[in-house]
Amino acid sequence: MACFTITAGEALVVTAAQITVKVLEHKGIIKYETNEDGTSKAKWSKKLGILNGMLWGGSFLLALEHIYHGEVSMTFPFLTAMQSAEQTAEMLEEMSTVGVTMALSLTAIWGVGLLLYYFFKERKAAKKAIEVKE
Amino acid sequence: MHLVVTLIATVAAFFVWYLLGRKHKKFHLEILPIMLGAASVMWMVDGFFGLFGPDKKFLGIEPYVVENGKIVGEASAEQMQEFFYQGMNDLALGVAIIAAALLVYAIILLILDPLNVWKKKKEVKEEK
Repeated sequence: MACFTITAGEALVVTAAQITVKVLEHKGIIKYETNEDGTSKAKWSKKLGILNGMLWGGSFLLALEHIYHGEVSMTFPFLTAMQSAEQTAEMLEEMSTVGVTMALSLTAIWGVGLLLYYFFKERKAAKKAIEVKE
Repeated sequence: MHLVVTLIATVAAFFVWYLLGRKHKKFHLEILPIMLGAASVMWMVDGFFGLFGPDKKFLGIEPYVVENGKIVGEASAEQMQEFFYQGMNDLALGVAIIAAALLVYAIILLILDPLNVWKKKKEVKEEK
């Protein structure tokens, strides 16, 4: 009904966070160490950008699906479920269950991706250190 | 059905990114798998809620009849036909969603201008 609005809301918050982090990086308040090979470490603004892409992309495609199914209209209040109190209650329930689970699962997948990134990076660094010692 | 189509597109886009992503970084090939993958996850969550909810269906076109939250039997020929048309309708939606994702990717590429086409045109104009 309107489950994508939760992820779109989270996307707005993450976009604001990404812009803030980018400004702080630009001002030099957030600093990153460089790797041994001289390359710079992945910036947080870039990592947040991936989550942003997931949230905006997913919300956009789900919004299209809702338009196709006639759940979103082009006139105010834009959601057909808001035409009656009963439907609105149903919509709010769906948003609080399905919508929140969608947002949480996307954030969790992003978090797991970050953990895997750090895990493989550390393993690579450890392997390199062993090779240098040998 | 649109979930299945989007999942297939996600896998295809992922392989394209995996094989060519590092070589062609400026084309941002990661955009498509991220977008389609996120939508797939969201529809999967929706499907699980449908499966454990009163509908008892993941894709919405499963060939059985549900009444009052219980599976009461297999669908009749008429209902199967209805499910088939519903599935075809959903398939069309899946294709439309992939087309929309490709359109968004094309717009992003136009804005980012990885081959500097706009920049070069502007330079030529300025030189003139």
